Amino acid sequence: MIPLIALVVGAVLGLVLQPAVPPFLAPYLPVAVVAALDAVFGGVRARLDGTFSDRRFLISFLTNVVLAVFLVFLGDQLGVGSELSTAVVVVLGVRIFSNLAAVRRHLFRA
Amino acid sequence: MNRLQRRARHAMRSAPRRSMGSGMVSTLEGESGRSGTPGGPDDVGAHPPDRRRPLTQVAVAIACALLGFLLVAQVRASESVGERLAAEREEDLAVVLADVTEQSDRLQAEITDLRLLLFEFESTAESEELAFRNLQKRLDDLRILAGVVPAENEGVVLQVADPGRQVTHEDLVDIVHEMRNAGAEAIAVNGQRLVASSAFSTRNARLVLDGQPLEEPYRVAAVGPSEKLITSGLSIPGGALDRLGSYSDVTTSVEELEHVTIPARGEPVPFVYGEPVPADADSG
Repeated sequence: MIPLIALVVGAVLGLVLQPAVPPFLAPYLPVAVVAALDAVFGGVRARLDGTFSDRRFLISFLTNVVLAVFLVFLGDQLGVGSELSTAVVVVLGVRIFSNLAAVRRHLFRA
Repeated sequence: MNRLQRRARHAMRSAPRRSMGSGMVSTLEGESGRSGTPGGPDDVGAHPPDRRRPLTQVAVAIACALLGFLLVAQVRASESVGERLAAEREEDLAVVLADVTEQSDRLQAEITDLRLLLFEFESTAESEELAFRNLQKRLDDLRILAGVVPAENEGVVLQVADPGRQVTHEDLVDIVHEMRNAGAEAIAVNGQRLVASSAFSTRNARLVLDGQPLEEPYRVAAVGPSEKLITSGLSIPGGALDRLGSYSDVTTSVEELEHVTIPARGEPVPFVYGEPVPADADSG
């Protein structure tokens, strides 16, 4: 419950503060968001599995974001930034999808 | 439930998942089970769900808030121009590029025009300032000529002692003319400024300048090139000083000074008959 409230608070904060994304962060923010989403859905799934751990979630959250951003950054340096960011988003998307499928199995027993 | 039991349960739960093996989804699930999702088998036992530390709970909340914040920021950012362009098709992009190029050309031309205009204004301002300075100088000259302002600089002072009243007004006119001829720009006699309409005359055997009687000794002061005023003015052979020297009891002395001040005329001379010819009349 608390994480959900925090999510809403963060979203409201973003709406109220209207942060401007600095140009150098613009290519990395989408992947960072998708990676964080992946971590959160993974957390939801673990919660339903009964295996949720704060520490694990935090580490997964941080490493996911940092790794995804680092990969895209590396891709930018190698000249394949857009391709690599697509790859990262695809992989993370598939993981999000499978996590959601697991959540679905828990909720609907199907 | 102790640690070992937990481990055993997890081992049992994850075993069939791994053995499912070949399907893509199941492989990916395995991936996320290991790295993405929390709650891998080897660390759950450290912090059971019912004894979570509040500090990490706060951290989780912060992470969730961060996600919400970033999500909104990214959604808002992708509403901007650059992100929208990235989603356009190539043909559309070509049209947009052509538009933008044309606009850029137009703005560039406008910049050039405005720069030219600015340059024009600047040069006009400069020439106007020059014209203003010229006019100011001319005004100063005319003021000195009209005698409405005091004038000062190097010059000479001529003292004429004439106890016998032998000096005539023609002598004074000669002195003034010789000084002017030598370059005097402002002249005063006994502190009375000479202007274009000034005149010497004699009334009741006394010298008069512009209606004011002149007292002896006469003191003629002039601003101008002091050396030239003496050498090619007052002391030329057969000039005014020579003639004054021929009078029996007239004594003269000439002083060459670094600084002479000629006072202004008390009141400007009113012109009644003279009217200026309009400027365009003499040019046409």
